[in-house]
Amino acid sequence: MALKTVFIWSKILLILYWVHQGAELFGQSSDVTVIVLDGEGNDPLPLATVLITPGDHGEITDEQGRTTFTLEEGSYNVTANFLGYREVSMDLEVVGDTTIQLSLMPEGEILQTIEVVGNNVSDRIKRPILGVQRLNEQQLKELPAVMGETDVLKGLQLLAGVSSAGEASNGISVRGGSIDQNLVLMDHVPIFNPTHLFGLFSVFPTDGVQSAELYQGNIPARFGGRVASVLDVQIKSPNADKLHLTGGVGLVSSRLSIETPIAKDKLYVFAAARASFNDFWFDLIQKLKDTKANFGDGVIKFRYQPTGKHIFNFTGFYSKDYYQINLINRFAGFTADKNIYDYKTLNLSFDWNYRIDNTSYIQTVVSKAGYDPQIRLPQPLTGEEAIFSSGIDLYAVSTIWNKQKDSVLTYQAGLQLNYYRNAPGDLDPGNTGDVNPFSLPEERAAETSVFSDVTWSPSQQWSFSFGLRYAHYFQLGPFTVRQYNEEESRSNGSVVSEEDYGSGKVIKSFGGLEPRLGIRWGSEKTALKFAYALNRQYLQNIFNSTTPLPTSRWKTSDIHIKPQKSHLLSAGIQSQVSNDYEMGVEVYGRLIDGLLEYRPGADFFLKKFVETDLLQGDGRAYGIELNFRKHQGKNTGWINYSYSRSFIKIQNDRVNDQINEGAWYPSNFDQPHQLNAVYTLNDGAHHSLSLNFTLSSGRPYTIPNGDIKIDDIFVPIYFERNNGRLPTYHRLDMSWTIKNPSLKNKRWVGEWIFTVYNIYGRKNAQNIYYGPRAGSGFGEVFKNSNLGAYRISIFAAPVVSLTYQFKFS
Amino acid sequence: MPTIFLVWSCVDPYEPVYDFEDSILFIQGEVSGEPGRSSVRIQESKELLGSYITENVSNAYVEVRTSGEQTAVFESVADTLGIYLPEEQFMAEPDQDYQLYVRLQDGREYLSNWQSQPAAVGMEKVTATFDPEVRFSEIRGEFIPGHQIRVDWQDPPDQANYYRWTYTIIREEAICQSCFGSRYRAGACQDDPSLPISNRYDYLCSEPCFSFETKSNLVVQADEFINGNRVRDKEVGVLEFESRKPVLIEVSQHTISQEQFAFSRLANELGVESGGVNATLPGALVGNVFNPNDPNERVIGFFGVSNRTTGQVFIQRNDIMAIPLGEGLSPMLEPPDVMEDIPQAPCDGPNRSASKPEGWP
Repeated sequence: MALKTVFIWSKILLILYWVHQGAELFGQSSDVTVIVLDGEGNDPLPLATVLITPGDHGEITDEQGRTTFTLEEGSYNVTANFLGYREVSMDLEVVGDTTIQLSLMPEGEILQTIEVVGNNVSDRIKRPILGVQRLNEQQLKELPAVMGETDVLKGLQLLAGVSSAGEASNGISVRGGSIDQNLVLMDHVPIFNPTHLFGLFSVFPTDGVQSAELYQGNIPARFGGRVASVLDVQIKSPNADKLHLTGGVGLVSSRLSIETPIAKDKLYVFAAARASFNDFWFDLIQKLKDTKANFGDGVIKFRYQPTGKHIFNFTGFYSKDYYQINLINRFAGFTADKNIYDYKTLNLSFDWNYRIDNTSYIQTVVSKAGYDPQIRLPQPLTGEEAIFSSGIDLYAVSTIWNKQKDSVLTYQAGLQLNYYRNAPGDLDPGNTGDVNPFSLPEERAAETSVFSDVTWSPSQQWSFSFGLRYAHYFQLGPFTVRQYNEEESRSNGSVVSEEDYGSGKVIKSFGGLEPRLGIRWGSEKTALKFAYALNRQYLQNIFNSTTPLPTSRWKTSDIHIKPQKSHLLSAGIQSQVSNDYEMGVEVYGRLIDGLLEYRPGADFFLKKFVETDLLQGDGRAYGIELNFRKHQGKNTGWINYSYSRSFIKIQNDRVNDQINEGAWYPSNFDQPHQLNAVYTLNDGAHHSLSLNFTLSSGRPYTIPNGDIKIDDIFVPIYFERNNGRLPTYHRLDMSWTIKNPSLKNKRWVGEWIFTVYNIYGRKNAQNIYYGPRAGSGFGEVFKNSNLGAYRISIFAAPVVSLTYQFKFS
Repeated sequence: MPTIFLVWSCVDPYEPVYDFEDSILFIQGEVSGEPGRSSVRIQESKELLGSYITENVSNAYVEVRTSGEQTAVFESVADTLGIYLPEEQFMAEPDQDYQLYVRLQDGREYLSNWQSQPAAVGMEKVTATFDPEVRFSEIRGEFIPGHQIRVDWQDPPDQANYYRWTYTIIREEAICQSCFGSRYRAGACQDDPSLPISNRYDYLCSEPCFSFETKSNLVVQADEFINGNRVRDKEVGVLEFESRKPVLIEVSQHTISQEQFAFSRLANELGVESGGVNATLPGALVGNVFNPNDPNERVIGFFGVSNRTTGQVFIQRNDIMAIPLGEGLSPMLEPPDVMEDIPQAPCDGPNRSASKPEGWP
């Protein structure tokens, strides 16, 4: 309250002083209102600084991004800046009362080359950032989508260097990295499973995403813990002065969001929910009668600004999935007829932004991330369920001091503490009577880090970004640690001793400096950029299948599983070739130490000592990415091509600890050629039509080196890994949005979205597997092979969807 | 939404592609606690005229060594089968460990690690439950009827147990001989130039005849999560409802070693449960047989010592309210001839017996 009073009185005194000065000196004056907006989303920017010279008039904007000056008629220069945004100046001739609007583009803390669809090409080129992809709310909505849902992850997959690693995968692969090498954040909190139903949809609410930034090159020092990329998704910050409703009703899912003030100028709320409960359709299709699949998610965000110096945000996110699908194999070893997957995410975050002065603020975040998957195992005949459950919780505290000294120098420093509690598995037998209770010990770990980023732009040509992070990781007790005979492969038979560590005791620690560097040199039209980043990863998802299941196990680094460490070098050039067109080239190379691989037949389900099934080796990835974009006009779009390779080497003196005889082999995410083309026709009024085409090399898979009959089953024999490649993948999608079809501007605005995914119905292979021949069937395909080969296609036909979505304010 | 995902997904046959490696040796051996059930089989992969074959190796020296320093020599049963059998009464003893030794004609030697015989665990019950939709047939595009074969057993609490199941379908057969382009006369199919080679005649059995079809889907289970419990309704196989004729199902519950369990489980994942979006990634089937002189040589094989118990269930299927799938080819009896009686055939051949099996009513 005191702060508020001081703030208001300061403002009043300032205004009175200027009014007094103006009246005294000039006698005549005009009101100049300055509105400062976020250039990406056109949202008002409160607390932005506006300076007017001559006269050194200074003000900060209010909740609506507005501030008003009383100025004498004459020529002035108006400058607006806001931390994290690029400063904007303009000349102003005051001849009477006037209102001007300044749009600030986000600058970020690092070097940037590429945005997905930037509104301001020249600004993008000037920014000293390399390897960042940014999607704002509007750009997301313009992308074609599956079944009427626009989607962050699907949108990112249209960019160079980002792939889905096959349909029905639980995330994205960035520059040949694995899915768990990406840190996915939503309002500062990690999301351990960012997708619904095997990656068909991301969990991010369609109407609630303010921006999504994918750092795949020079990751800012404030981020750490993953070696491939960081996806930073921000939920819409509520600041509407009246009620806004948006929603959609579709065949797939339905959604509703609301944004409204609770206490005007003080407290705002945004809430969004989405649900899919359409599995009654399954009963209509015989094959799917036993199939169930539903999901839902919701997010709520409060924004409280008691004074001009303090902003508090609270975000809660909940997501739940429930399904039983025949495409998933049953867990062996249980007498269950089917497996039911039931998993949920609950994330909470609270952040406090304290504005020290017009150029600096401190942001403190307290958060908790929780992910709890379950597999229900109903017993045959009785229906009694045994339940396998696991869970991972992350508690985090961080504080960051940000300072924008001037347009030349910006710096940031902070510290972060993460505490992990990973429960790898519990088996609750319920009333089955057959199954025993079983519980794996929790894994506990802490990660502390201090970091600093400095952005220095000494001239128009040169700009530098320096980042340094020091992270230290501790594996904590209680835990039982095995020692193995170093002369043998790790196995139950090579255990030398076991040692119990007490609660809180440090079992093993790792740490090291993680430097980040970005350099930009160039003109306003063309820029050359270079970046280097070192990253470490202490948490990984382990799974021995084509696609990780939602129940795939998380594993913290320990005395046997060392952290992954990557060095990434990248360089690029970005050029605005005309007002409408720009192009860019980026090359990169990445080396990884400590990459995880799996022994043949590895099984982590309720396994106490998983290190016996894990191997570690080296990874290398490199590539070149080309992009060409038309960003203005009725017809816009882009085309990008990337050549990228990703390899693994698991070499060891012990033959049994090698894969592919210790030679380099392609990783599961090695897709050398990838081409994306997006075309959008927007008449600016009622219709928007988007087409996107994707063409890429198939991912590697493993083909047999022969077969052998065991009992009466032919079993494929494999000696090598990833010695084959799936057929080339290509797909064309379209999205047609009919806006405001009533042709009337009303408070209620509706639009129809018609989408077709995989227009020409190509049967792209999700996987090809070898198995028993189905009797004498398919003889013309299998010929004289003892085994049958089968191609799984997820979207084997055009998928048509229609959604009605609306806005009400 | 998920509806659409699943409706649009499909599994199509695809031309198999191989990266054949020849000269890979396959050695499978088992010593049983029952006389007459121990055997060793040796094969080697060959690429012949662009085709992949597994060639039987019948000229090796095979012996099974015991911890009591005894040796049982396994003899090749035929020149071409690659199968080696011990003397008839040979059987595993509970207090002995066993090791396989193989020496090929070119001098290459192979050893297994030592294996001991697990204790047998009896089944309490074998049941067959009819399900009108026992599984989905991709070829038919619909669910098909059949019986789920299930077992109950009491897992011993004081030891780690590993199980594998096989089952034998016993049917009473009416046809004992089929001749193509020929007629059954004087105890054999005699060529008849008047018949096209594709012509088939079936001949009725001259005596009761029972066929034995042993099936395995490499179904295995460890007792890690069920130790000491009475386990109920474990599905070990499926019998499709192909006919209304009765069948006798004999289930064998094998107790095996932890290593054999791991080998069989991986074989199951590679050969049976290889579909599905979460299928285990293909990997080398590493067994317990190796070349002591060249540990890097690729050998696929497993030598194990097992024990088994059996249980039976007889299934009358004449009153099931469903339409049988059909037995395949309809009998084509040779047309009656006024000049001679059409002969009948005896119950001969592998996996057939004229003796009524125990359990058949």
